[in-house]
Amino acid sequence: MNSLNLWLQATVNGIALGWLYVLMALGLTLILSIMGILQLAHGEIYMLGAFGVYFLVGRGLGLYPAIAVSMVMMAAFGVALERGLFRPQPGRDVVLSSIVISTGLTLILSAAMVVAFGLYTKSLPFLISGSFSLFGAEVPKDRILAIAFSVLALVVLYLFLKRTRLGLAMVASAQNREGSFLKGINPNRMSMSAMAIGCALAALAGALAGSILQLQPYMGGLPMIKGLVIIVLGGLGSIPGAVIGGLILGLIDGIVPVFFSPAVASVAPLVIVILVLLFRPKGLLGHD
Amino acid sequence: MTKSGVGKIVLWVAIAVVAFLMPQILSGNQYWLTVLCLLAINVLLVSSLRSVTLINEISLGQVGFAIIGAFTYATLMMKGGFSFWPAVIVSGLFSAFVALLLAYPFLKVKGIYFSILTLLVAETFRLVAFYWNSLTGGPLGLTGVPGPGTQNLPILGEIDLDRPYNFYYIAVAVVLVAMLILYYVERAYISFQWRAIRDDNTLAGAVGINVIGYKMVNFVLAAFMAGISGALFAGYQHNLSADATSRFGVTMSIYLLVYMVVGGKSYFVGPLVGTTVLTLLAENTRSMQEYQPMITGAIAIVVMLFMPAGLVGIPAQIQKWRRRGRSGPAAPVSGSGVVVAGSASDEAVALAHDEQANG
Repeated sequence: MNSLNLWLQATVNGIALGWLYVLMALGLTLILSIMGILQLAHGEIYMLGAFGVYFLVGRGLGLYPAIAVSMVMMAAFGVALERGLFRPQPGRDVVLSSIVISTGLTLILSAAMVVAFGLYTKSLPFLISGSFSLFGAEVPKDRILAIAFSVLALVVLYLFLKRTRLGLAMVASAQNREGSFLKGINPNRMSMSAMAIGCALAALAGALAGSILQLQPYMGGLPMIKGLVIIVLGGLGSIPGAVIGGLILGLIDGIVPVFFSPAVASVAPLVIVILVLLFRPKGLLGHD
Repeated sequence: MTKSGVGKIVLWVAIAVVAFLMPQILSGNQYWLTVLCLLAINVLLVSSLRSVTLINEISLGQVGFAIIGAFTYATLMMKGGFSFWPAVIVSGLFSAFVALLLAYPFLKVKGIYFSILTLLVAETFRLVAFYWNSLTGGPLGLTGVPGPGTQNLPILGEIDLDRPYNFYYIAVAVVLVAMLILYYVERAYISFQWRAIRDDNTLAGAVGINVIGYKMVNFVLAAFMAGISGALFAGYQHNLSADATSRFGVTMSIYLLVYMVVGGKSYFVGPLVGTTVLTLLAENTRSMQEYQPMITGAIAIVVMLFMPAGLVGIPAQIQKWRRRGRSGPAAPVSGSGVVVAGSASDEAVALAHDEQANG
């Protein structure tokens, strides 16, 4: 029974982690497919979102309003970044400049948070306290709630992309920038929307992570790398691919360190990515 | 030999002489010698990163190969009973071997995907080193990694090479040789293939260049250099840690990239200039250490936005302005020399490439 308990908890933890990675990957895949840039400061947006919630909760705001406010703030920040730094200029190497600018941003933002909040780890209040029993095993409720929020965000994003004019325009712009431009879709506006949505999702992921895990200024690096790996794994621009990739990586991180070793858990993503690249270079669900 | 060729050789000889006399100039100041040793090691790492840009890819994984080099060196020295020089070489070769295994799947993808994969590699190798208790000491890391130790050299006699004063020469010599190799490879026949691949991947394949093969050679060579740099670091530092905040964290990959871009990625001396300038800047602003990354990040962004050709590209840029000033209306030259139109500096890059091709 004890072993079952451990398995179940590891699985729930893994799925919760996986959904956080999915949120990161969705934002990154939106930004990458619409803007064509590698936004390496996405992990810092995640961190800023979490610290925004921490700051607002410290000012006496409730946890849920704080998360909403933080998401809006990060969306605005994302728009500002797109306008100020990432908007393509004639004669600039898009790939290199986006990588260098976003890494510079990474240094600035994480150092700013170290100065503002210190290096010590902090924590947010629980989303919900207590646990319920499932097959005789204790499952913490906050993990389930975090998963529920992530799934909700995914459903909203999916409906937005498939059912609204702006969402459809974004999909069109991702599929063919020039073609959609000729149809009157402004690529810069699409880029701004992509940054806003991506950053809001990252802020949500950061806030959830801050609540079920903990927060510190360097928390963003790992989820950002996981998000990028999920894009390679699932295929660029594929939402189902991102979900599958995220759950694979999350379950590896949840289960493997408990039952095998953390070293195996850290090699596994690389091995999986290499296998996927050898047999399906466009990713599991990717297409041209 | 052309005039600029002689000038270049004079410049390199001058750099070598200054580097050789540095311990005398600093009169054995331990602290600055430490800084310079690390600087030399970093220059090699950044040069390996620049070497990958010759095939138009950006590798964020050079730190990963440096980790392999460092821990291979430590294992060979502590458990394998190797002496210094064979251990350094074997560490580099092992890094290159790992790169060879990874190269085929990785180089099938291009651009952003390649960068993502190399970033994953760096982080994976770090985590493996962090968790592999029996080999790498796990989270505690390794302490007491032996350096070159006391050796009996011809003419000089018995010398304790572990002292910073003496290790400095080893670091500079190894880095110099490695840079010479990179320099000659860049001038060799193979670099024409690389340049063709850089300019147009598909076209290069169409005219019969084995694209993936030449890319693999490039990647493996860069990994070898990164491995050597890691081994030198291990031999110098005597303790290794694969902590996230250590030298092998993601932040280091970021710094390497910034060093390269600030120096100028189209120039062979770019890594040297960028690393030196930013390291000296970091040393001189040590009093406000927590703001340090912000300064570096801001410099990276400003350089990328306003002078993509980097610091080494400034003379070419000024020359261009002067030429334009003579023939037409004056170009908008600002006092600080920072405001450069994007297209103009691209021409500077093209100019640099032409120069390389001719020289």
